[in-house]
Amino acid sequence: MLVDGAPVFDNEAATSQICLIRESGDMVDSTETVGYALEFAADMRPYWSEAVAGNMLEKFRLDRKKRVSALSRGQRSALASTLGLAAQAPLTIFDEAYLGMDAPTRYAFYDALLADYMDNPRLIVLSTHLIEEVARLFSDIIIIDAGRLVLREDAETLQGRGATLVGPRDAVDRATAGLRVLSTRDLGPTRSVAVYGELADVGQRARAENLEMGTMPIQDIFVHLTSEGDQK
Amino acid sequence: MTTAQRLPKGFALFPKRLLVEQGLFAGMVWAGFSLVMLIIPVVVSFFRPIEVSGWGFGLGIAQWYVLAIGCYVGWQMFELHVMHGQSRRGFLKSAFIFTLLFSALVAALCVVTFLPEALIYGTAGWPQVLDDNRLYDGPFDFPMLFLHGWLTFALYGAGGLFFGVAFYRNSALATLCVPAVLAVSWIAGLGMASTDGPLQFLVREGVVPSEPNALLATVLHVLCVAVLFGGAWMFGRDAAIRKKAA
Repeated sequence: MLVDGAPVFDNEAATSQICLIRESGDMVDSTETVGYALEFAADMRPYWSEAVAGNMLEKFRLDRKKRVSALSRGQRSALASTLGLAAQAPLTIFDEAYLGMDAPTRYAFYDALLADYMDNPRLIVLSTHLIEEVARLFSDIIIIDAGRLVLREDAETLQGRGATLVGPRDAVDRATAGLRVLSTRDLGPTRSVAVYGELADVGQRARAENLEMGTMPIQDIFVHLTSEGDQK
Repeated sequence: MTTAQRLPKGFALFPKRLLVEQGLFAGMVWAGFSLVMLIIPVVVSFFRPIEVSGWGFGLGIAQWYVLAIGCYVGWQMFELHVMHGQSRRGFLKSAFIFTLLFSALVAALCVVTFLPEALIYGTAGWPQVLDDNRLYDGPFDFPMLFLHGWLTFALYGAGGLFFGVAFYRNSALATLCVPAVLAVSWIAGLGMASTDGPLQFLVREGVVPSEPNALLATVLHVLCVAVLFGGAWMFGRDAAIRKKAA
């Protein structure tokens, strides 16, 4: 694995620029306090922002004096996310850091992530299974299924590529001829298909056949693209 | 200011944070432990005469404390530092420096404790006798007391670091290394005419002096500490960072 053309493994010039946050809480000594975890990270992280750390603690209502071992799973995730954002590393990777957080905390994290990115634009990689929740944060999307790269697109383009067409079976078949059909469902004479391609072209075909057309949320595109791989 | 506009400060080789934290902790442990070890002879004196230095026994316990700290550094701090961006090799180098300086600090604390003990023993009229089988002549032979403590603690600290890193990497493989580490400690002990281990035949055969020898002890300990550091390096230089259970 290379970052800026340099190997990452045990290369301090690269690793000091990277912050990998996992929900498991391996960034902190669980016998210590939240405050100590932050002090330790501040000492280790070259771009540490105390202001961001303070804001996040307040947002997540984390007590600096509380022992990490006494935190709930969600609070541990919140602490890990705090460390990740406050590190301000040029490459920050959140590997499902939200696990354990309840919905309001997750949304608070997404808001903080977006605000922080606006203040300090940098590469933030967010790996997640809760796609719909975080779809608004994405600028680029990479879908990996069982270690296989399924897709790499910018979010805007991807959102304009998924569509559903509903109508009489024959008309739908004519409209989707030559297109990449992700899934097909039949209900009596009515057929519903999910297609992946240029929406302008799909829209023209749908109008020509008088079909109902809708855009597909990113999560549905994800589900269809990954299940397409499973079927192969 | 954006991230790209700032320069990273990098990781210092000198383990300042580790030394300050563990130095303060060692100071607190020493204060409590030495107090207990100074009180014990007073209590024992009500039941039987005091014939040896109580703190002399304390030295034997202190080496296990240093070993435990070495394990902690190799097991816990290794992962934490790597997770926060320091390289494995960079941390191990810092850990080696830490082990040598921390063992010197503990040795100094141990030497200093003979002074209040001398005051108590002198007042009570008890003989402050130490184990004969050592590099020093008595409780006031401070340089040799310090050398003895430093060499011993550095060996135990390096052993702890080795075990910490080795068990972090692979507990089964590390368990297999226990005999090797014991052998290293027996070899180091030859310079101090240690009666431990199966290498006593070397003393009986006259290969090594039967009396503690400062030069031999220093050379053997330095070599053995280097071997243990080498073992820690071998296990730690490419150890995978595990994902803990949540």
